Amino acid sequence: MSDAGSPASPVADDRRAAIARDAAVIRRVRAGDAAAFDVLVAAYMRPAFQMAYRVVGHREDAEDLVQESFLAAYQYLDSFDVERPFGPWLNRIVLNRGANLRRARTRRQTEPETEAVSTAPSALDESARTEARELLTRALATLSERQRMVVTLFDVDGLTSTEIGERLELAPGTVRWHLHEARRVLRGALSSYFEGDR
Amino acid sequence: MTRMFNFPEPDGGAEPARDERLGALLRDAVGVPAMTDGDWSALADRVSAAVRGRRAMPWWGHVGRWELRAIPLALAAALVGAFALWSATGAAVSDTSSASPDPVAAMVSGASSADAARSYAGAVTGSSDLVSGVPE
Repeated sequence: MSDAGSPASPVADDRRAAIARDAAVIRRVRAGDAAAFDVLVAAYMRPAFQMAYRVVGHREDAEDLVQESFLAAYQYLDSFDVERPFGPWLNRIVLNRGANLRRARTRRQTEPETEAVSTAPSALDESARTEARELLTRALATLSERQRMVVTLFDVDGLTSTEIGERLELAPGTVRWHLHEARRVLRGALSSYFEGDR
Repeated sequence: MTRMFNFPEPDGGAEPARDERLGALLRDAVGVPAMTDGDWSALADRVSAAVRGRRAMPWWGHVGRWELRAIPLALAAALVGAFALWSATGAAVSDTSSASPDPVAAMVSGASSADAARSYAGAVTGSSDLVSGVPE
């Protein structure tokens, strides 16, 4: 069982190194070198955007959310414990503010942006894909926020359970449990598409 | 902080395999943002510019951020204050006018000047008989 918290693992070493690097940067920012904050932006912007996009489901909103979250992090940097990893703290800001943003913007129709990647099974014609998408969207809405996040980060974005655990501040085993449950619900909703798998 | 729960491990703790079919359908449903290197760079510039704007903001800039909340609050407070002031002034005027008997009217109605004066003084000061206990 992989565990990011294991003291001797390379993952733990990387984590400690990242914490030390970020702590040094944060101390510089606190000392008045505000430009040093750009280092944190460069290091954490992509995972923050990935998380933001999974929360709000819209690119422009995700970019707004990332900007707002970094601003909040900058504003409250004095309250951050430099002994803790910066990434999960930022992700928590993204998740909290993203939930507020999503509630505020529910009136906006959010069509998924699938122009870059569309790898649905080629056997499915357009109408079948539309039907599958609707079934899946409804099934996703029945999942908890955490399960929805876990299954999309794992099966769409390709993160490992350890990586997801670090971002969501969950134990890897808990991530795997949420993944298992989410997949069970989704595959149940799409049973007609998975009949051949049983 | 990592939260530890004792969830039963579905696959004995092993990393689950990727579910390609579900992943493809999910990708179709929730979308994958198409971000180029230029997009990432633009986003980083945008965030950095916003942070620079925040740290360059003068104190009145922070005040300005609160104006949407502060103006209605100040208006409400002013209204409450004005109403309280108006109520207190009205009550004071009402008390004075109702509690103070007119000494002229009392004398016209036949009371002695001493009784009228005593009644007026008592109403104004709240004392029932100002001259009681005072030696002649």
